[in-house]
Order: sequence, then C-alpha cells, then structure tokens
Amino acid sequence: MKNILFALICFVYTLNIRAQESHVLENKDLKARVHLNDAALIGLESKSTGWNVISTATYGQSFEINVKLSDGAFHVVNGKSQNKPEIKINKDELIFVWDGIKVGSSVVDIVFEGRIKITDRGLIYDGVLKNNSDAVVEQLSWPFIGEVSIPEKTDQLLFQYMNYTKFNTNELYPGYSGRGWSNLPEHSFTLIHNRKQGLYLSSEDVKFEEYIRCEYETLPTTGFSSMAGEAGSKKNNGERNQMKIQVKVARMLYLQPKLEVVFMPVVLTPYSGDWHKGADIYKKWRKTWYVAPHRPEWVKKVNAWQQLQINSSESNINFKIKDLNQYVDECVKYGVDAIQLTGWTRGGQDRGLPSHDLDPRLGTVDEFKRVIADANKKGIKILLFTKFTWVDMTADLYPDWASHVAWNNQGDTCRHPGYNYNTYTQLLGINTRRFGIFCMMDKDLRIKLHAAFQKCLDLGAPGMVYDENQHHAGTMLCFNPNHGHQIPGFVYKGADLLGREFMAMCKQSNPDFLMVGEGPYDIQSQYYSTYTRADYNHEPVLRYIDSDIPIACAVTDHYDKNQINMCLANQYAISYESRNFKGHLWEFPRVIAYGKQVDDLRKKYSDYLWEAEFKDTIGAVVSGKDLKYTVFARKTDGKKAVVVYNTNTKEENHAEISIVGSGLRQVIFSPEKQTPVAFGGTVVIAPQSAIVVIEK
Amino acid sequence: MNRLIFLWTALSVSLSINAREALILENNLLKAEFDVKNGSLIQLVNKATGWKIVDRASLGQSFELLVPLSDTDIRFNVVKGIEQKPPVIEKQTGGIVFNWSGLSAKDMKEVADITFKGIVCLTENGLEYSGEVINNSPYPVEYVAWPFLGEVSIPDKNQPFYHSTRSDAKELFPHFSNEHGYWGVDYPTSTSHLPEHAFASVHNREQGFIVYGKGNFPTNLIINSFELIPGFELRNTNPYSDEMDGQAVRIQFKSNQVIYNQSGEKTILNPVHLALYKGSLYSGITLFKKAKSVSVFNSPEWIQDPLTWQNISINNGNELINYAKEGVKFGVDVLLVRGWYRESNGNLQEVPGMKEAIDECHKTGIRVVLATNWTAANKRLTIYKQELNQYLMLDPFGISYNNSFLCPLSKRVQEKVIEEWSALQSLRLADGVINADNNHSDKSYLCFAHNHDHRYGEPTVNGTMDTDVSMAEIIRGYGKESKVVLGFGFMDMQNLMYDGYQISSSAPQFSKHRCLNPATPILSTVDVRNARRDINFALLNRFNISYELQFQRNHLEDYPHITAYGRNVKSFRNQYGDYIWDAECIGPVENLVEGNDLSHAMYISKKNGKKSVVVVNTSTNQSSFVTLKTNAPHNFVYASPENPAMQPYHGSLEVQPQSVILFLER
Repeated sequence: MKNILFALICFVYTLNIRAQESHVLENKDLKARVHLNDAALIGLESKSTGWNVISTATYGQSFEINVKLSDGAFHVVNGKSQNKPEIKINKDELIFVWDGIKVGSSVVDIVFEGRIKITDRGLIYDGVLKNNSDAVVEQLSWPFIGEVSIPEKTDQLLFQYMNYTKFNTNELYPGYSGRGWSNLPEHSFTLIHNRKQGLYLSSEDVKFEEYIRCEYETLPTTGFSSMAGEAGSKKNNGERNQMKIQVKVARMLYLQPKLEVVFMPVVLTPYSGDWHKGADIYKKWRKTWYVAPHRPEWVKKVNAWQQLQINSSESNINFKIKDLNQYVDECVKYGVDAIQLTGWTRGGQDRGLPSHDLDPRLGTVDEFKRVIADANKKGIKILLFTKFTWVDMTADLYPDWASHVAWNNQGDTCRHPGYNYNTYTQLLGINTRRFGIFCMMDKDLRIKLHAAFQKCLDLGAPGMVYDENQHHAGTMLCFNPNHGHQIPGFVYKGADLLGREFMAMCKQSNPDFLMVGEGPYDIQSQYYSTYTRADYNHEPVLRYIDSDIPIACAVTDHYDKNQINMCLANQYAISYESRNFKGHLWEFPRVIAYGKQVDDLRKKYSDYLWEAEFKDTIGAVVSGKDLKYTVFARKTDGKKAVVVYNTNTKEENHAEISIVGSGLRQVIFSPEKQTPVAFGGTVVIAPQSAIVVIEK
Repeated sequence: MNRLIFLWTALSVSLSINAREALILENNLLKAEFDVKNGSLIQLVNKATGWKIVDRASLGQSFELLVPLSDTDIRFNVVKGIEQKPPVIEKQTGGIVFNWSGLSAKDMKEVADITFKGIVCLTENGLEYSGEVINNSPYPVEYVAWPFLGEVSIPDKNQPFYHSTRSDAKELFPHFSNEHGYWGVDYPTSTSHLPEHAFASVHNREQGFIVYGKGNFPTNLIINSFELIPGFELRNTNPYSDEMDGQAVRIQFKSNQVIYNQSGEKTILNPVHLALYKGSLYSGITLFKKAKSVSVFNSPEWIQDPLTWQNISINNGNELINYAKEGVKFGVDVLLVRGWYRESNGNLQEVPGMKEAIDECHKTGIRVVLATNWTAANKRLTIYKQELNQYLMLDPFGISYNNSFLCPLSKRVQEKVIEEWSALQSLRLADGVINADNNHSDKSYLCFAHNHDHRYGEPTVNGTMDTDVSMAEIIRGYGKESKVVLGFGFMDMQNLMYDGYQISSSAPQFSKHRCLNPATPILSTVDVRNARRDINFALLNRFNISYELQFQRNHLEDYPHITAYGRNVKSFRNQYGDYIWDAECIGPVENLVEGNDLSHAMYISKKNGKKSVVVVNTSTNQSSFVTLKTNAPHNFVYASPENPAMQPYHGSLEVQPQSVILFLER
C-alpha cells in the first residue's frame, strides 16, 4: 500500500511538473498543449469529440530541419535535440527563438523564430528563418505532429486532399500506407479523418508563396517488434495498432546562404462530422479571397461538349479542318454546344509544343478561322486544346526554348517522358516525344507564351481548354539560376502568374473567351473553368466548394448511363467522347440520346438543378441499395431538389427519400418522364436510371 | 486455283482448299482456315475443346506493317494486309507461304516496293508464324503484325478470360484491362512483350492458346496487343453481345514484331508460336517449357539446399561482420550485400575492410553474395561527362532514355564492365554475385545510337545477355565449384546462365515462375509488414527465404517471432525435404483443396513419387477449415512448421490465420 501511495504522489508530482512546463492554447474547437522547453506539440484535443490527436505526450515533436552543409554533408536535425529556445508568451501566441542550430558537433548560424498562435480558425504555425550560414536549409517541418492517434470507433482513417476536382485518398488505418503527402497550397487543404471527425490542415497562401509538403509516415512502435510474425499478429489489426502515424508540414525551402524566409501561416484544427465539415472550413476561408472570373453566358446555362482529336503526335490525322464542319453539324443535331478540339497544333496532340500554330497538314489558318466562325454562327463553340507547360525536346523549335526549362537541385534539366499514341512502339514508350518542363517563374518564358496564346485568341475561337495546366510532372521548384527568380523558384507561382496574365489578355482581345483548365487546383479557378474525368464513386469536392464553377466531365462508354447520371447529380456538363475522343457522336447513339434527355430536364428545371446551390449529400436522407444522391438548394428560396440514381446495371432498386426538415409538397420526375407527379417518399428506380424529387 | 495442291504429312496434317476458297491447315489439334483472296485467317478452331477462336470470317485479318512516311511526316501509316492485292500463295510441307508485294496504304502516294513473305506452318502444338520483309521502298518498316487474329472469341462468357504472362495476368473479359492512355488509343488496349514476359497466354480455366518466340535469344522485340472493339459498353465492362451500336464486338490480337527495317534492308522475322491447349494456364506453360532450352551448367551444390538469406546494405566491412554475427544467431546462411563498393572518378572501389569482413563471414559459416550492377553509371562523375555519356541508350530522336544505364550492346561498354569489375578483389573472395540488370528501365527496350556497334533499334536485352554471360564466366572462373551468379528474374532466358534469382514479381505470379523452372533456386524477400505471408508463400513455392526486415532499421534481433518462424520453416523443410524440396512442384491443382482463403501447391517426391500438398491460409484474421479432396483421406497425414510431427488426417482441419499445413501421402 505504501508503495502505491508513493507511486501516486510521484505521478501527481510529475503531472504538476508537466503542467508548468507546457502551455495551453485553446479556442472553442481545440485545446493544444505545447512544451515550453522545446516547442513540442504534446497535446491537440478536439473539444467537441474528445479526440486527442496526440494521445501520448512523449510522441510530441517540435520541428525538424534538413540542412546541407557547405562541405556537402547532409543532416536531419530534430528540434528536440536543440538547446532550449528563447520563449515569448503572449496571450494567444507562443514565440520560440532558436539562435543557432546544433548540427552534428557544431552550431550553425541559423536563427529560427517559430510562432504558434491560436485564433478562431485554429492553431496557426508560422515564423521566420534567417540563414546566416554557408549551409543550405533544405526543409523545415513546422508544425511537426508527432502522432495522429486513431480516434475511438474508427473503421477507417483517411488522408484526403483535393486534386483534379475530387479527393485523392490514402488509407492510413487499418491499411498500411507507409509514406505519402499532399502539396499545399496546390491541393487547397488536407483532411485526416474517419468520416465522423477529422483534422484539417491548410496553408493560408493564395499566391503560391511557399511550397509545403504535408507528409504522413507510418512508423513502428516498440510493441510492433514483439508482435510481428506471430500467426495471429494481424488479427483485429493487431500489428497495425502497434504502429503510429506522424505528420510533418514540411516547408520545402532550399534556403540559400545569407537569406531569410517568412513562413506562410499553416492552420490546423479538428472538426466534427464528415468531410463536408472539413471542406466547410476551407469554404469559409475561401470567401475572404476568392474572386470569380467573368464567364460567357453560354457556359452559365446547361451545356454539353464533345471532345475530338484531329491529329496525334504519331500523325494519326483523323480528319482535316474542312471536315470539322461535319462534326459541327452533328453537334447541332444532337444538342451539343461545344467541341474541345485537340491536336490541331503543329505535329498533333502532345508534339511540337509549345507551338500553337495550326498544323499545315490540316488546312490553312484562314480556313480554320472560317470554320470556327461558321460554327459560332450555328451556336457551336470550338474550344481550342492548348498546352503551355512543356517544350517538345524532339522538335526543331527546342533550341529556342531550352533555356526556359526548369532544373532540379542537382542542376539537371527536368524532363517528362512524353505521351504514348497509336503505334505499338510509342505505346510501349520507345519513341515518345520527351518534354522539357518549363519554369514558369521565368518571365521571359511567360512573355513568349503570351505570344503563343495570342495566336489562339487571334483565331477567333470562343475559348480554350488548357490541358495539363494543373501540374508540372513533379517539378515543384526550379534551381536554374538564369531565370531571374530567387533560388529556388516555385513553378506553381509562375503558373498562377501566367493564368492571370492570360486572363488580362482575354480582357483585351475577347472578354467572353472561356479559359478552361484540366482539373485546375482551386486557386486557378479564379481564371480557369474546369474539364475533368471522374467516375460516379468520386466525392465532388470542387463542386461542393463552388456551385458556380463550370465543370465538364468526360463520358466515354457506349451505354454508361451512370456516367450521365453522375453529371446530372453533380451539375457537370457532359463531354461526349466516343472512341476515346476520336469518334462521331452517332457512334454511341444510346448514351447520347439519354444525355439529351438529361440535359432537356436540366434546362427545364435549371433553377433547381443547374443554377442552384450544390449541397452534395447534405440535406436529405436516402436509403436503398446501390444508390447515389445529391441535394441542390434553389438560390431564390432555398427549396431543395434531390437527384437519386441507381448505379446497379442490372437490377432495379427501391429508394426511400426524405428531405430533411421539409414540410413542402414534393414532386418527382425523371429524364424519361419529365412531367412531375406527387412524391410519397419511396420510388423504385430502374437500373442505371435517375429520378429527381423537388420541393414545390 | 490450279496452283493449289493437297499435301499430307506424317502428322496427319492437311492442307486443303474448301468451297469458300479457303486454304486449310488442319491436324488433330486445330483447324486454321485462310482466305485465298487476301490471306486472312478466317477461322481457327481448337479441336480439343471446340473453341472457335476466330469464328466470324468477316473479321478475318492477315498482317499489318507500320510504314512511317518521312516525306509527309505521317508516322501512323498502317499497311493493312486485307487491303492489299491478293498474295501469291505457295505451299510447303505442313504450311503456306503468302507473298504480298507492292504494298499501299491510304496516306501513301504510290505503291511501295516492299514485299512481305508470311509463312504459317502447322507444328506439334499449333501454328508457327515466320516470314521476312524485303524493303526496296524509301520508307522504313517499323513493325510487322504477324500473326494478326481479327477476333479472339470468348470461349465461355460465364467465366473470366485472361491474358497472362510470366510477369502478370490481365483480364480480357468481362472487364477488359485497358492499360494505355485514352488519348492515344481508339479502343481499350492491353499489351505485353517478348522476350521479357516469356509468353502471352490467352485463357480461361479450361483452355487457351499461348504465344511465344522461337529460340532462346530472339533478335527482335515483340509487342503482343489486344484491343476491345468498339469499346466498353459500361465502365470497364465489355459488351456481352456480338454486336453493339451497329458494330461487331471483338477482341483483336496482334503479335507486333519490332524490326526497324530500313530502306534497302531484308529482315527475317523471329518465328512466333501460337500453341493451343486444353486445361489450365499451366498446361499452356508446359508447352512453352517444352519449347525452351534448359540450362546445361551445374550450379554449386550449396545453392541447391534450402537456405535462409538476408538482404543488407553496408558502408564498411565492420558492418558486414556485425550482420554476419547476428545472422548466425538467427539461422541466416547467406548475406546478400549492397553498398560494398563506391564509384570514384574513373573506377570502382570497395569500401574499407571488405576482404577481412568476407573472411570473417566465412569463418562464421555465413556465405556472402555481392550485389552488382554491371552497366550502371554515375552521372555525377567526371568520367561520365568525359566518356561514358557517349554510351547512354538513345531513343530514335537521339535523346537518352535515362542517365543511369549504359548501352550493353556497345563493345566499349562490355569491355569497360569487364575491366572495372574484374579489378575488384571482393568478387574473387565472395561466394557469388547477384546482378541488377537494366530491366528496360525508362523504356530502354531498344537503342538507336549510331556509335554503339549495333543495328539501329536493336533490343538492349541482347547486349544484357552478352554482358551477363561474360561476367558469369569470369565469376565462375574464380571458383567453379563454389561461386554462384544470380539475377533478379528479369527474363526467363537468363536462367540458361544464372544459378537462380531473387524474384521481383508479386505473389500471384509465383507459381508460374516455379512451374517454368522447377529446380531453379529462387529467393523471395520477406518484408516486415507481411512476414508470415511472405514466408508461407516461399514455402508454398519452394523459394528460399530472403529477409529484408527494413522498418526503420534492418536487424533480425528486432523481430524474434519472424526469425523464429523462419527457422521453424527451414527445419520443417529439412525434415520433409523429400516431399517439398527434392520434389517436383506441380503448382495449384483444380479441385484438390477446399476451404476459404486458401492457396495451395502440389508436389511429387522425386525419391518415392508420393504426393504432398502445401496449403496456406492467407487470411490475416480468420482460421480456415481445409479439406483435401481425395477418395482416400486415410492415405494422408499432415504436419505444420509449428507441429512438425505427422498426424493422421481424418477430414477437415482447422488452419490458423497466416499458417500452413502440409499433407503428405503415406
């Protein structure tokens, strides 16, 4: 008994010591505990759910810094190994200053001032780093979350981030994901969640000032070793429960000697609810900076597209410019509004870039202008497929553009392996047209790209689809010293500048010119509309964030009504792409007939299904097998519409549909039966079919 | 018509012409019907099963050539066999010779002086396609599709239909596995290539055909392609009907032989076999095995035993010694060592203390096999800029595929390899090497450099094989009775000169590797996170265990249960060596084992002809009840690594998760 009493006294004493050595930052949503000796985040608790993200204080971490010394030696330095920092404690903020960083046996003249602040948005990490040394500070992880514990009653813990209009998903638990990351601000925000609650992370950076890699890693704990290899070691996730997840918010600095960097604020906050609640945090912040671009009227109304390849990099000349009229007439016949024309540039799709001259084998520029103008008269918009991201290393023009190619930190030219078309040799990768990856921070490059873009504007087309605007094939930073940017340059920042410069050019040439990108990241949606490819299982995050962004989505298969229904449910324009966008609309008559029915319905009820606020699954309860559904709220009065579709391709299914809190009369209709009839709460939905219920 | 004659052979082969003016090759195995007007294959029947592989004559195809047009820069200029003038047809014993000449295509201004001579012969197992291209046109001929099957019909729409190679398996029906970017193909397309993939078998559970190149060292790359026309009906799902939206539904198959024939050249094609079979995929693999050569050299005895290996990486000799000391405690026999040399400017250098360390390892009874990389180059070195970069593998545009591997076809590179590596003392002292060949990294299938002593567009594997053979001879010269030379299973034909390999395919492919090479020592890595699974699959397939317990650090002492289980399995294999080691692995057998989550392999003892069956419960959570489907269960006993004593088998048995049961015929 004496022993127990003694142990208890010791425990309480230890708690007191800990309480004195740490500082609590809290708001209505979270309570964070920071160790004052080393700035380690040793507690991060959700007040609404009780989830302590860092369940074990000893797992707490402060920062990690990667330093390359002038002799070439590389060191990863953990913040906890450093001398105690100088501390300033304000009401809602802690400021830690490490004046000199211990690297191996020496101290390097690096001053890191790390700030942790609590605001109503969450816990904010920022600061300043002064590199007075000859070393290069490659990376700083701040914050460094030493543990992301598994909340109680978790079936699955996910790491998700927005990419290409939807979520990229990595399973952290019970699966084993090893290591992975999201990029900020490219991916807007990152959620780590179990569908009932989660942790939101984002950098409050709308101009690509800083490249941040939000990186998770799954590591073994001491318990793992003693379990791995037993027959029952994986039962009930046994082995997995003996691993821990840590998350580093790694600021990819490559800060050169004698330079200083001010960090962008990184916010982290727990939330309660599914991913929509996490996205709501982003939506709220987005309202403070987002400016929607001017868009032409036609794209604000229900519209449909066709994508069509005229030529490929292997010179598969599908048709000539003069033949485009025939496709335009087919669009008129089938109720399609726009053609995304790929491969019209010199050499065909993905060759000859960044030239945006018409391939002379296809026809003349005058001929092309005439066809575009004629199509316009018929109400069909020719959207020019463009690409300004690469230079074709096999093209004659390469020497003129080579100096604008990005370099990696080894001084190597950044290359892309090129794309594969038509011939089996190219499909295998033997003779792809390799690309040099442009550094868009190079102002001289952007000026040359303006000239290329002007050629598109001069053709009189009503818009373009800038393919691969949303990535740089993994080249995030450029180390080429001849581009006029600080080393390194953040290539995405250059792409953002280019987009804004293009927008200014449109204002001059044709304010109604529609700039569309391929799955742009959200910051780009201030100037680019969206073309995407998705299946019905995706989470429509971009649409949830913004109900007004025009999004067109590919439909490729002969009778894939589910794909059409997904477009209906997510307010996507249908982009018909028969024979992988080499074919005619008449090649898949069934799907186009159904698509037309859906678009007719959307036109009829556009206030409910097109110009309404998209709520995804919020606001209705739908039950039944193999069903997907979304909810819209009419902007004028908030009346709801629910789109429900049966994804089963063979069997009809019974749906029970309830609009939350609705006391209004409800009616139901479908693409095939567009006359509304009273709805009593249940309906049988045929295979691959959709219905719409609205509040009257 | 009067040129046609009937021929009969001793194989009961018939060559005949029927009422619809078709030539027929027929034996007791197959019937192949060719249209005399255009040489297209309009019917192909597997007589053993009744499967009409090509059924609709209207879909018949003969050949295709890719003839890029330099004057108009039209690369995708396809010469379609069925659109050519009728071929001149000759007969030969058991075969037909088609001669197409004066070829044309829609983008060609005039007829090109190209002759394609295509020969189809009946063989014991199917058809052999051979031929030649005589090119007197101004254009190159990049590849030849020969054979070209206008359709591969689905033999049974109630079961999946696959395209399998040594390295993978892809579904063709009902979910066609499309692996190429939608932007570059009209239709869902799936490909494999030879010789790297060894063979391409098209099959369901009961029958199939298998395609492979003749000979051990084919000179050309072959790309097998499958296309689903006119596309998917639903997402990733084939149409079930014969027609969709007015078009005939079919899967086309081509064997595209890449020849890069230049103007004025004559190219002989590597013969391609299309063999038909009844039975599972393994029946098809058996046909391929029969056709290939077998290794003629004798490997050292020590590598024939069941061994435990460990993959390690070192910075100096002391680290090697420490690993050896640890390895002895945990039953390791061989250390497979990376990081034992550095590239300095001009030559390779061993890390300090290697000689002493290898000696020390041998004293403790541990063997040392060194990881090598014959043709890799470090681009950071001055010598790279001075000389080596001239030997990078180049694409047709003169751009290097990657900066890491040198062209193995170059004589200078081959000399350099021998010169550099022979100078390393450790190679003489160690027990062997395991070489990481350039496994077509960054698509370096062919090299187009003009200064490397090879033809334009020559397959790099030809040089890889030459280099490997040279280095294997050198290493074996250091001690023929004891030195081993291993690879990473890049190509099956490497087994003609390697003593074995560390497998890099995924577990579902393991049984194919074992079936192809029943006695070859194969190492299988054991990963920390899936250690039981990996050890069990090694036991199942008669592979050696090769620990790679890298999870923060790579030390066996961190994982007592894994190493204990590894030792149990080794001891178990020694105890039952007659049944599961000195035995022929038959692989999985249909309807032999019943139960959930089970994988199995049957063995036949070389010593006494008795059968044994290894059964693995692959579930990580659930026990499984296993039943051996036999009429005489009392003839079997069972044992397991944890309980190695034989127990009588009376019926269904419970197997713990991630555990193994061995059934033995008394």
